[in-house]
Amino acid sequence: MDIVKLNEVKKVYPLGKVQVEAIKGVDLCIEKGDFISIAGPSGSGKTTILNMIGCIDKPTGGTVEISGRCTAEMKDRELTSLRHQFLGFIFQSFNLIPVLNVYENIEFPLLLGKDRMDKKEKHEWIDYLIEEVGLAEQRIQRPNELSGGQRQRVAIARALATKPEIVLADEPTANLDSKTGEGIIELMKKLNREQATTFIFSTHDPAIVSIADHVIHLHDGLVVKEQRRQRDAGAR
Amino acid sequence: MPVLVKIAIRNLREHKSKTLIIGIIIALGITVMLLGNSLMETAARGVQRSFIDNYTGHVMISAKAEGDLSLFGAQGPQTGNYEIPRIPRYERVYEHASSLPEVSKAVSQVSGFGLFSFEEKGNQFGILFGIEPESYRAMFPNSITITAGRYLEPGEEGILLSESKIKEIEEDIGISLSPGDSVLVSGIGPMGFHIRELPIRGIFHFQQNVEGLSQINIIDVQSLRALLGMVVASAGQMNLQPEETRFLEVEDPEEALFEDSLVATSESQSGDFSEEALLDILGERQPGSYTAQIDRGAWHFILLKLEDEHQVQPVIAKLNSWFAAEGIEARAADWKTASGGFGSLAETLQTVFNVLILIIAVVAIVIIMNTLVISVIERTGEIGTMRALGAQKRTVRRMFVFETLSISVVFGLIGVAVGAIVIGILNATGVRAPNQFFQILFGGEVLHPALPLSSLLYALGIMVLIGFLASFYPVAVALRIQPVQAIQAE
Repeated sequence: MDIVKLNEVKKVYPLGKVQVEAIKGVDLCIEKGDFISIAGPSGSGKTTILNMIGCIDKPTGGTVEISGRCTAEMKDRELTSLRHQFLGFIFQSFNLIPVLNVYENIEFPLLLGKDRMDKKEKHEWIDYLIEEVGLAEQRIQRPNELSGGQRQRVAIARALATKPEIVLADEPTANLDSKTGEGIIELMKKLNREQATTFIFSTHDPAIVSIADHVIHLHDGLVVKEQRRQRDAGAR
Repeated sequence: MPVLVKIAIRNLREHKSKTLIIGIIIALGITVMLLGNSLMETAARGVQRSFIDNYTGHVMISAKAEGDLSLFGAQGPQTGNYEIPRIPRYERVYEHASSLPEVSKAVSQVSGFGLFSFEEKGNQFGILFGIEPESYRAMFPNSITITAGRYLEPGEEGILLSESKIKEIEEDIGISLSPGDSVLVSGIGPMGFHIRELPIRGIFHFQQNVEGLSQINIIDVQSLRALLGMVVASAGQMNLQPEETRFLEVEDPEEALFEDSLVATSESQSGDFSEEALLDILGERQPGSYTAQIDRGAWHFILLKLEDEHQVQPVIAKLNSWFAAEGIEARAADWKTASGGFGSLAETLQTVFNVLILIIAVVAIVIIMNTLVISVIERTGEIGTMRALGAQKRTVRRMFVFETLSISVVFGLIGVAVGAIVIGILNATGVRAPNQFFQILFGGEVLHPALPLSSLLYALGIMVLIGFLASFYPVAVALRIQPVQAIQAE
């Protein structure tokens, strides 16, 4: 089943008086449970594609469907709840809320929106996530007391907190050294298997690209190559 | 604790200097506002109290006139026009007003200006309140304190001079007056000067020693009427016939004064109508010759005291509509009108002060707003992230409004506390009026400021308002932040 569908998607940015075509017509289908890498040099449109899948940016042409729902006509409020329900985000610069500790940062998305989790269940779930990303020791530390890798682990746990269908990660390893970066991708892959959550991440690091099941190569706003591998074949 | 409250409070703690800047502005503003308002309000209340209790009562009835009539003259104190119109159909007005259920006491008064003449040595100016001793004392029992001599007896002629007038006369003219002496008083009326020699019965001071009011001297009403040329027939009052008294009730008394028939009444008394002759007649009047009945003569004012202070406006409205219905050219007004410029001084100052506060508040709002906008911009990434994670716009709004409100409430309360302590200290020690201007303003020499609930609520209201207004623009800026900016922000 296709959880994400991009149809002839185009994106034009105004840059001063010039119109910059970031995405020039992309068709994509992403299956549930996939572990996908969007690869390409900087400026190829990776982030733009991710933003449109993540419903934080709208295409100027074509359609984006998330779980069968077309995002083009949606209002800000609906898009926000769609993001909250279906999507998790991992950012290049972690974007944790600085005044909240590890536990509270992971809890934060659970405190938004209408349907709240039962208190005890929530508590156990967050503790489980903390355990999963290996931060049991740092539970009550603030983000500025953590290393980059640890911060990104918090972000991963936070992205998974609402049990989303899709987790989007925009260059999650860009601010980390290569060993830590690999560890992060491995963690994402592990969670992808365990939670059956679709992960889509962008990167320009060939070493990390190779871990993905499904690699989409972008160049100048166009898909130039798509590679699919058998599940688990890419796992090391 | 809700997470937004947690984030807001931790952010405030995290950015201590910013919080302090905003907080101190708010606290200081509130303290100044509270203090100022308390002083002003206490002063205004003091002035009101002292005027109502000592000079004006709650309601003043006068004839209709162009401009405001006050007890001190046709305009403000000391600058007045010399002609105050008398109340038309006085008797009927008095009976109606004093029989109203809300009215507890009523008294009538004539006001005028006089010169105390000391031959070639000079003159002294004074305001004269013409009264009927018994009813006036009943109305304002604590208004004056006699320091020498005695109070006026009913029906006797004479004058009570204020202590400060005695002092002025002594300093400027070099004559030391005491009870038992006589003083030559000239009154200025529509028919020119009228001069009488009046015995000084006593020396007094007002309970509230306000400099501007020390010009007031108390005189028996018959003498004042004679001085003002109001009552040519005063000496014949006891045997006036109804057809003669009607001249005192005519709509245009000035015109009536020049009618032959009135002059004829005078002539029947003296045969030769002249100023001296009139004085002779009036001078012959003996104490005790007064018949104890309502003085039906001409009066300028009727002052009313009410059972309940809150009834002032309804009673004024009631009276004015009665006047209109009866076709009487009279008017009821409140103590502020009666007091002339004195009463509204504190109020005017309070208004000026509040305008000043408003300007300060606007400046404070701008500073706070600016600081908050900077803080919003600094947190663009954080807000974008929240939005990306599924926080609705209203959540972001709530977070910032809560942040500003908690600063303004916490520091506002600090401001209130500081203000209240200062007021408490000032209340205990009292603020001494540094000069005459402040004496008038304070309604006395020493002010003991209190903290009226209204000032407190006003301060709290302003505090919340500042919080809301100051967060308006920053919140708008925060709401413009798109989730995509979570990615763009580094």
